Amino acid sequence: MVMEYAWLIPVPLFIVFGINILLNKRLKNRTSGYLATGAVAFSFILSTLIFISSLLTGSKFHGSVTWFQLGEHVIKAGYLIDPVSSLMLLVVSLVSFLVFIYSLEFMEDDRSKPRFFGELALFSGSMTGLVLADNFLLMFIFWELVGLCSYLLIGFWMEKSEAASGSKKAFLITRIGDILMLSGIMLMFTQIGSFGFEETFNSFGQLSGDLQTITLLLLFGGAVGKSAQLPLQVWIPDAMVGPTPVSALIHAATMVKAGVYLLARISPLLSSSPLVTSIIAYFGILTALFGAYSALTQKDIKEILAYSTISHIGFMVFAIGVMGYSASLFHLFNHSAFKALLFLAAGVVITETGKHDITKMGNFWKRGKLVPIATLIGCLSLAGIPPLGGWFSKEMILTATMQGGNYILVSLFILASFLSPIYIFRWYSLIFSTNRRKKVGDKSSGYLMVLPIVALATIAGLAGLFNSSFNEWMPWSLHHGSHAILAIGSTLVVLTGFTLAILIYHLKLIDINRIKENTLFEILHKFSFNALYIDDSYTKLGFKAFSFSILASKFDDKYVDGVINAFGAFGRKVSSKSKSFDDIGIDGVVNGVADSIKFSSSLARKIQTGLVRDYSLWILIGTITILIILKISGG
Amino acid sequence: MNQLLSLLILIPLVGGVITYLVGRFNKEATKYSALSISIITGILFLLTLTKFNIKIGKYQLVEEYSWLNSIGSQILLGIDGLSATLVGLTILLTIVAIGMSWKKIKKKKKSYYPLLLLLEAGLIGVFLSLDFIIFFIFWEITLIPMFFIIAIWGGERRLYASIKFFIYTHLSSLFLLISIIAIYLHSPIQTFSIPVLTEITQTFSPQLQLMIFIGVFIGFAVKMPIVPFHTWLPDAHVEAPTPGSVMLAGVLLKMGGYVLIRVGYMMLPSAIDLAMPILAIISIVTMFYAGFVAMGQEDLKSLIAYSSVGHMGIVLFGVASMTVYGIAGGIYQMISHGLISALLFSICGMIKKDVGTRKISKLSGLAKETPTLTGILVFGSFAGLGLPSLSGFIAELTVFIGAFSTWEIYTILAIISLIVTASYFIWMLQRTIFGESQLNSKEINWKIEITSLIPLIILIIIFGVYPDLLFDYINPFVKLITSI
Repeated sequence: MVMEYAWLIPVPLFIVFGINILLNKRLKNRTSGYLATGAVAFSFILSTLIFISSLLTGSKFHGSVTWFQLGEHVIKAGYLIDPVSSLMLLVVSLVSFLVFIYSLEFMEDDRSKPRFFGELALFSGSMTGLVLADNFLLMFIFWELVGLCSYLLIGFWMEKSEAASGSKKAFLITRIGDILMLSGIMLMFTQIGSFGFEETFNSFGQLSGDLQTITLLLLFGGAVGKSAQLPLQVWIPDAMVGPTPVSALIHAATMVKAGVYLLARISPLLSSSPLVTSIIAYFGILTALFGAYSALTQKDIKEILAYSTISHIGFMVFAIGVMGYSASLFHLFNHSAFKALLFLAAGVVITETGKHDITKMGNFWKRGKLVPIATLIGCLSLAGIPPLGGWFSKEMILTATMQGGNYILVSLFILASFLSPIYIFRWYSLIFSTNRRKKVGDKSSGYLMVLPIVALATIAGLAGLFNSSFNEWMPWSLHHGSHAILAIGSTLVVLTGFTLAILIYHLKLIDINRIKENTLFEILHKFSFNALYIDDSYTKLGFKAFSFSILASKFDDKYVDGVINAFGAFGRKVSSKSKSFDDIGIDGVVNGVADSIKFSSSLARKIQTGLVRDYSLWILIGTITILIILKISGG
Repeated sequence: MNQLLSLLILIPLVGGVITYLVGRFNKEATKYSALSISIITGILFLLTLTKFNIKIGKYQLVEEYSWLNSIGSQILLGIDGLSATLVGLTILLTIVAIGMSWKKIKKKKKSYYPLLLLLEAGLIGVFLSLDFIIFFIFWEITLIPMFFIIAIWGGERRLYASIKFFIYTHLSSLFLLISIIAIYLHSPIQTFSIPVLTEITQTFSPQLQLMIFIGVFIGFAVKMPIVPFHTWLPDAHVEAPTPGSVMLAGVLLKMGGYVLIRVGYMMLPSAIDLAMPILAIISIVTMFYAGFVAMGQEDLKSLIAYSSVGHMGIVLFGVASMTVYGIAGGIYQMISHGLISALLFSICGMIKKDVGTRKISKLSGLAKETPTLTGILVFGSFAGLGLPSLSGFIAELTVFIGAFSTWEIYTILAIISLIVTASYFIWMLQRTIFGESQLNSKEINWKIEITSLIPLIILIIIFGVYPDLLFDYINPFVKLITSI
């Protein structure tokens, strides 16, 4: 059975990482890329086989070996193949494969290619490892390793100062979530004595209700950090300084989904805690709204996509919160396809125009029809226009929301899905639609960059066809609800958004500048453009921590060390006083001994800092303390 | 052959003398002599390990020679899981320190290498001695070579730093000595034997144990060091030559942790039990305080020095939790920190030599200048902040799991300090490796130094991925001492 060999998936990628990093410059630039692509192709083929076999047979596989002895518990490490992990494996290895091919051309002229492909291979290896892991500890290890890769790759162009601060921010902010998650894992271990998913699911019920809630919230904290949910979402827009293939792979298609994957993994635990799921639902939907609202006014071609990613992962998290697990994962699959596609297309636009500001772009439609049409498919799917994949998954999430019957959530969800088509067609129109004043550059992209885009467009276009077989395959039973009116209504809302965006940005029938003159809109615009100022307030907090650290180090130098130095100075003073008393006293009484005193004081002076004097004082203090202690302790 | 343990001490000791004599004829030959002696010690240690039964937590391969019979002291050597791991660390780091000295130490080689070997002998002696008198002699012996290494081969303010180091740690040793004498005086049997006294002190009243523990506490708190007794450390590190820092942070600090477990936990359990909450608070303060002060440092080396303080706080936290996990994790952290700090201090010394400065604000663009050194610095920093898959993570995980069952709130606070740790390392990387370069690399050939760092890197990874390699030694020991 092919599933037994699933553990092989990350192995070649780790080997390639080792080769690329150790040989580095000794490796020919091209070779490093081919090696990595070869490794990821292997992972992709194996993942596809596993995916197909899981789809056809619906079987599971669990293999494990003894890892180490922790106190009285034996910790095992292993891999778990079930529909959820085989879907994730396919997503990760497929997008990785396409992005690696794309990078062969995108990074053509970069001299640090071996490092780039090495770190990218480490990422794909760790990400597949994260998906395969059968216990929380192993998952957490890979969870942090993908964070490390994200850090290294955001900062790949090291001479840029934005790269330095962006990578720092990404690592530290997600670290906050990671620490929460680690606390949750340790809390569970102290209660259950195992890190394994199965064991945990079996004995979780023994925990007290409060402890269950706390543990689940801590684990959710990990998902909030990694998947950039409110209030830890601030790192993603800054992460966009990394190379575009990195943004496509790590910060759109795979790593940021790890949080959703974690929540789907622990779904057996979540189902028993309605409090936690409703908290998750509210965090998710607020993030979805926040991301969509902030995406409306951004100017950077990648930052709009970043806010859109925040928003769409918000949808996925929200779907988990309303128990629509398969809806969430189907949206995850769709989003990985169309968002990776949009990022790769943005990469083409950036290399060909050399610009990032979409308000200065236009006319891109004229550059060969393949990329614009593929991008259009991606945008339609993102917007949720039928009959594309994005529409199906949104409808599935809506159905799940209706099951809960919470109409606040339903209306928030519809509001958020109304914004998606607006910001994404603003993005598309400003880049692609005809505009006489804007010129396009004359660089053009080769087939290695175009083919992955076309492949992703095909997937995004056809994904919707599989929605019902997807549902049957997933382990969660689906409630079939008939909310036809609502489905039609929400689709109409989305279409209204779409039409609005076309009217404003493509046909320019509505003048956006005149709307902006309205004070209310101006304020709304300002808040959207600055993403509710959350980032700024964090920056201020960071500065406070920094100035506190300066204060702390001054305090340490001045007072903590100062006390010690004062002791030393005091010791020297006392000994010099006693020496001068000695000098006078002994000098006055016995003249003859003067020579010997001179000798000993010159000896003392030789040791400039007064070691001997200080030392003798300390010995004196020490002896007194001995006596006191012996006295007290009754010796 | 049952003299393995005494040979482990004698070979570097006698080897030091031989090296000195060699130096009188040929100065260049001293380093070869020192290297071969430290490697022979290493081989002997591996041989010892083959005779060592890892399933037993008790002292093994015990050697006994009569000495000061009149006061009940004898030469008593023995090895258990705790001392085996620490002796291994000492031997490895001595070899690394020789590698780091190879090209950098140019003056007075004739005395330098013998001092390094004397230091090794003293440290191994501390970890293997089972009699308080010889233990304390070795304990004090280690100060002397370290004092000279800082005072002669150190930086600009080396005199101030070396004397501060000497007085501070020596004074703290006096407190330890007081406690040892107090134990001796209270014992019904006139003996200095640690195994015998361990059984006796456990029967002392908690109040008496606590009184004795105060002296022990000052002894290890300065050595480890624990805030607020730490200020000798940054000065000593900043002024010490790189190999000196390697030994100081790598092994000398572990003497504090060793006393904490060997004397504090094993002999005075009721005292630790009474002092538990205070120790927990002190160690949490240490973690946060060291973290914030590290963040504010301008000098890369003092940043690493303060990170050591924080990491040793985790050791105290683990042991103070008095659980199997906490103590095992604490020992794991000592070994892990020994490897990581040795790596970080080495790389810091190399950077200073290569680009001429250690000032963080001036180091920007390091990646462009020296990609290899930068790679190792990044690796070391991530090891230092406890990246999973590296040794520090396993240590922290084990400590915190242990602590969770003792205190919830304290443990959560301690875990939060990991964010501070990550912050100062990541922020340091932001200011050093990134950016446009204003530096001028001398493009020194670092082959020997990097080769000597490879074992550290490999061990950091192995201990992070396959912890049993170390836990096999630690677990039986910890199970034995916690079962009492």
